[in-house]
Amino acid sequence: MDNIDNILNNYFEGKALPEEENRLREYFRNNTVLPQHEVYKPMFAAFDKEKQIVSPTFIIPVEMNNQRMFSFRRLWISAASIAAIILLVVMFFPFNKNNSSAGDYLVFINGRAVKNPEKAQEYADQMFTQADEIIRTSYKPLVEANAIQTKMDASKIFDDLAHTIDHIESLNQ
Amino acid sequence: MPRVFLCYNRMIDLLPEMQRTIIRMKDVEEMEITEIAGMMSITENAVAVNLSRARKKLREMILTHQQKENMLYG
Repeated sequence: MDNIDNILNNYFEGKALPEEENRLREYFRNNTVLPQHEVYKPMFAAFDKEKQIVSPTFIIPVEMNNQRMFSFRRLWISAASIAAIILLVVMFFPFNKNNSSAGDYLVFINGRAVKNPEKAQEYADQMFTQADEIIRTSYKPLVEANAIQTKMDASKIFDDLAHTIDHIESLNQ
Repeated sequence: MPRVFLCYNRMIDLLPEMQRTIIRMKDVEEMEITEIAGMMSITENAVAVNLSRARKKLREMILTHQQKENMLYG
């Protein structure tokens, strides 16, 4: 039985050959185990017992097989949700943030390049004020309307025509 | 299930995960070292080292358990 001791030592060292391990298993399955080896017998028996335990099989009822359709629907809903989130991000995320930064800002005012947006805004406000002033001071709509009305006055036109006709008749006489 | 098997299963459960898996594959499933190495994507030497450590720890646990039982029950 020295041989068994050697095999047992090799076994615990992880150096036992497959055939040696098989011999050990067979040895501990028998009832002729020596007293000094009895301590290891339950361990090999436990391995054998665990080997016999068959993992339970679950049978899915037919009516539960629509799980796959549910999964497909869930996949579809997930894809739609992701698409909606991406759309929202694209709509509201300031992707052109860099374009509006002061470094990239460039407008031409009267042929002059202006890079500072505040200066450009100030210049634009000034131009609008000047334009408004010009319009307000130079354009007098009531005066021009009165002039047109006076010029296009029907009674005056008829009077002028009557006067012209009288003048022509007096010349003929 | 008899109490003795539960006891040894509990001892195996106390091993680190890698050692526990390897000792179950080797001693319960009776797989070859090469097969285990392939399945776990580790070298055969790593399998052998982990197997040796697992078996030695298991032996220590068995002997300690045996000593305690002897002390308690004579």
